[in-house]
Amino acid sequence: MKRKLPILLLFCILLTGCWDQHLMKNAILVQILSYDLEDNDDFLLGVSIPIIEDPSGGAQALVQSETFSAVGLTPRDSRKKIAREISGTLDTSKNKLILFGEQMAATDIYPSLDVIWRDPRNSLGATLGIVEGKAVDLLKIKPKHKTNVSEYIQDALTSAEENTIVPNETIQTLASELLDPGEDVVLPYLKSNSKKSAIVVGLALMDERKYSGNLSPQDSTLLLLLKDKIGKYARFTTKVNDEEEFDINNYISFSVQQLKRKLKVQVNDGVVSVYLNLNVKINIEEYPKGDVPEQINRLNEVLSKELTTDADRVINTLQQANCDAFGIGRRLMAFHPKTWEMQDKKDYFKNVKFTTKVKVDVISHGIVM
Amino acid sequence: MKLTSLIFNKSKNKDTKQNSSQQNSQPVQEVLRTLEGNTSFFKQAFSGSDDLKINDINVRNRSGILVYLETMADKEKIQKNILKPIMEAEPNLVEDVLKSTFQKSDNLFHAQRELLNGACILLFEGSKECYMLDVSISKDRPVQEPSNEQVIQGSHEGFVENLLTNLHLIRKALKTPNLRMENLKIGDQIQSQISLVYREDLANKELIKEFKKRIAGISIDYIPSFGYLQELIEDSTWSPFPQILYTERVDRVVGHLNEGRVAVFIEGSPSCLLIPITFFAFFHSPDDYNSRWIIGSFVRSLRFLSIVIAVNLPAVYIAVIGFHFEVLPDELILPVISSIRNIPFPPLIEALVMELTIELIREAGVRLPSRIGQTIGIVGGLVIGDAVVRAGLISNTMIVVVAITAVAAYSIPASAMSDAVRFLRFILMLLASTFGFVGIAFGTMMILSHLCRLESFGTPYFSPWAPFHFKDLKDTFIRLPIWKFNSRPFDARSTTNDRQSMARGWKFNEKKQK
Repeated sequence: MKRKLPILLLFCILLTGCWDQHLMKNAILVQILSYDLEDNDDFLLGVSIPIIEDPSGGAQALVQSETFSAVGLTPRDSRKKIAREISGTLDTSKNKLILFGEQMAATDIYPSLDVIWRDPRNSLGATLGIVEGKAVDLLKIKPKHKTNVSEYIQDALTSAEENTIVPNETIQTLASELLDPGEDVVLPYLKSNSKKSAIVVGLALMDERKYSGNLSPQDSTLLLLLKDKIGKYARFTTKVNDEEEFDINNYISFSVQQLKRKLKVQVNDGVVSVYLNLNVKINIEEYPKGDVPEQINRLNEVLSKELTTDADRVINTLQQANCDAFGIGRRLMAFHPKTWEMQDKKDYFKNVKFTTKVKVDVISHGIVM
Repeated sequence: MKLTSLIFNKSKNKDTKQNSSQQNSQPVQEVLRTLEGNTSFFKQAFSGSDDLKINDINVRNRSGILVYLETMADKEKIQKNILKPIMEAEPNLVEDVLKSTFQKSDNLFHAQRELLNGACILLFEGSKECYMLDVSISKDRPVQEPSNEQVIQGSHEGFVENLLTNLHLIRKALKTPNLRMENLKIGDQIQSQISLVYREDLANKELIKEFKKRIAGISIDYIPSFGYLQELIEDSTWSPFPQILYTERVDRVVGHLNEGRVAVFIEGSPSCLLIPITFFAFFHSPDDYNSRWIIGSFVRSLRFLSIVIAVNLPAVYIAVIGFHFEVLPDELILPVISSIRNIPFPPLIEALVMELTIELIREAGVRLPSRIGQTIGIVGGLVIGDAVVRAGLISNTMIVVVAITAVAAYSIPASAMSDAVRFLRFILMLLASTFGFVGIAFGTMMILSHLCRLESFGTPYFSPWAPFHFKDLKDTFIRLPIWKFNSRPFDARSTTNDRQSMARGWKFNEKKQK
């Protein structure tokens, strides 16, 4: 016994850690999760896993993807069912995307996300998205130029982020906003294009945890500018003339170079009014009609007016969807708690009076004189 | 470990007592009156060995004997330096000739020791004294660059096996009367000579006292090489880290002597031991000082990076693919998965197989003649490396990791440190395979705390990092320009701290004039 003791001790010390071992080669990585609600209110979970083809000749492995789905009571229940179908252990630690079907999103997205926040192995760097129609259908698209669906959608979202169409958010950053009664989130809104490709079609507006409306890509960009969250580029195309015969000459394209936003919340006799001032300095990228320096004052005026109307429309849509993307409720809680107590906690945003003003300044117009 | 060191300490104390009593009683045997008596003394001392030559000589009617070891003495030298002057000298001047060229002694044991060093002994009938002259055969290797410590620029001198040549090289490089050399002898049955070299005006006296105390406390039959001496005098033999720097480069030793350190030479060994030393000195190379300081700093910091890689990379890889692959970026995870998916072994076994293969290839390469060594390199490196991947036994990424680790480990200039690093890697790999990153964190913590605790002859081993000396960082991780080195490093504990005051005085004067 005395001789065995050191060996036993060594085993106790060295082998205890093996319990926590989590071998990479046994893991089946999940790259996209999709949550859908079937017509008969059954929960449908879809996962997309990468299929790695053996590299021939030492080159990079070709990665394709396969989609599995299962109906269950909860996300975990469905996952158990999928796990029985797959060789190896499902692992969501490198998950990149969580997609909700429109129907699922219209009810409540929070309950199905609970498992993501509760399990420490889950990836908090994943992005949320809402899909027109069924989310699981988006996983089944077969894009020709990129064989791996998750990589494809992820890249599409990244480029949308760069172009200020969707905000750069992960489920970690969204968690507090989602639970905050004084603030609502906006999520990327995607749709599948005849089962071949995925398109980012703008932003989905959330009313607390429910999907309640959407915005077009150009309006999404404007909303993000109003939220002071500009990406790498923010491009617009607007009509500035009417008289030209050839229609293309009526339009102007520009990108935002600098941005200054002021948001002021004022309370008068229980009425909340918000003053939203946006100063943008733009670079004209496309104006076939020609001479910018000559028309610079007119363009500034027309574009300011145009963008102000657009901004009003965007805010109108927000109010209809009851989506407080600006976090007005949070400001009320912080600076006007008494007013906040008097407000209707659910529909307060609809009663906010917005005064929006966008001022455009052309600062450059390319290298054409 | 504490227990064992306790036992060791006890036995050490006993030994010192025995040893000191032995050293006090040097054997004395006076020169005998008769030549026959002396002849038989030598024959008995060397047990009639065939290379002991005793020739009768007759100088001016005085008969005598000439004793030498054929294997140690040069016959031509005997002829030229002994026989010729004696025979040719005027009869009344023989005594003078003897006095001026020979060493005298009345102790036959002394004569016996000198015989072993290659001396020739001359004894006359009725004389009370014997005469000795060094006529040893010198078969020295020429002074050349040591192949294990090569540099691109700078001196290409290296030590040889002859102690006197080595001391000559040092004396030649440091022409100051303050350079002091002390000869000591160790070994109970067969004595070896060691030489202590230091700058009298710089070296710390306590350090020399401590060194001599340790040397005096050694009781061993014979010290064949520096490795024995190192283990007998270093502070903690249980550590994987070397606490004494040995080098074969003259310029390196000279540099350290100038910082107040002590060099120890052993007869018959081309390596010089330097004490006290710090961890960081093992990463310095004379090249750092001969190239521009920016480049020197860059190369030196690369070496420090290489130790981090060599110790940690395989362990981190094992921890990542065994425990937490979440840390890999999205773009990296699929290529890694595709390469390890079909490997039949757990990551630790996979890594151990490859690391041990590399170590085996190295070991085989070291012992073999250089031509076969190349073949081994090709077979080992290319054939095994490629075939093992194709056979699906080891993953591609593991080969990459092992290769980077091997290159990093061999870029450390001191081979003793490189060995230590390669050994520590296996411990960390074991920890990583059982505990993941937690194991690596704890392992690294243990290594660092061990380094902080180590001492080399009373100097903190991890200085100037722990204890922290900001001033000494100038020549630790980087090398600042030479004119910044106004003080000597703290860790050598030199008696005078100032080295120079204004290395670039001309620049200062120019500014002043303006």
